[in-house]
Amino acid sequence: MVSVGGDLAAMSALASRFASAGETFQSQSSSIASRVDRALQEFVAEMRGLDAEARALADEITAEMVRLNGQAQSTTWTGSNRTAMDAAVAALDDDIVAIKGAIEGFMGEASTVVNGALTTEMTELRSNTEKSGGAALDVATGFARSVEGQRASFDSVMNG
Amino acid sequence: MSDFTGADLDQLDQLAAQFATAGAEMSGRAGELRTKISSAVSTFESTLSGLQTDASALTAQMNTEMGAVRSQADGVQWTGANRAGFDGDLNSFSSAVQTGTSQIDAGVVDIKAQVDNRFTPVLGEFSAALDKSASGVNDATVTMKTAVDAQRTNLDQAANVGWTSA
Repeated sequence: MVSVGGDLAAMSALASRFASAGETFQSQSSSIASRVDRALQEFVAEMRGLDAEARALADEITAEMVRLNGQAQSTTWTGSNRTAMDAAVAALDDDIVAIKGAIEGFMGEASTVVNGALTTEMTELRSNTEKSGGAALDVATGFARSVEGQRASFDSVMNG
Repeated sequence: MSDFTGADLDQLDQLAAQFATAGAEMSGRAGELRTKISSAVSTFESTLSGLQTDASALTAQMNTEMGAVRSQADGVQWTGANRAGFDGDLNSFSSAVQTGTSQIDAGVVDIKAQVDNRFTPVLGEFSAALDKSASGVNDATVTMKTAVDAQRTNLDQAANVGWTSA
């Protein structure tokens, strides 16, 4: 077949396929961004719960060590065996302090996450995704408009 | 001044037992907390990795589709400025897709890196403290029990030697 300028039916089919690809990209990239957002929200909720659990455990540990140390201090016991026990209690205290330190370290990081430490990255990701999805769709739909323009030009030439 | 000579052994036994129990319980609960934190972090990172894979798959899907659209265009009798415009649009579209999926990937990598930077040291600190306390609780328990037993022996000896029957 000999065409002057283009086969309009084929170009319309092409435009339709192009526009469809643009819509697919926009919706799927947006869906991925939404799922990242949802995963982050779930993670933040989980951190909030674990942060509360960690705080309760740290308080319990403090209360328990205060109670036990008080009990040890009030125990009537003298001499070298008492000294040995005091050393063992002090060593145990150090271990518990190390555990508390780890718990408090976690609480610090969990709080920053709960208070939005990752929000900037998420906002940027969403914004970029929306921009690129919109840009792809603009290009694809722009092409469809060009095809329609070409069709109108032909129509005008052919039908005056 | 106390009425005791050296120690109240029952009280010492109870104290030793309470320290051992409390130490083991605290270590156990901290260990459970560590497991929950580790699980939350790895679940989140695994979900993000899955989404990175989805972003890569979307790029591949779009590249395939663009290749098909280009082939379809090549089969159309079409010349002139609009055809050139179409080729330019196709390139722009591919570029937008590439930029978009790269940005998703970069955003996810950034979030994962932040989570890693925050929680990997915390989990390491937990592991070190728990390892230390696991042996520490055991050592302290043995030391206390040894001290109480030695005291019990001392008192027994003091109470049961030197008696001469009439």
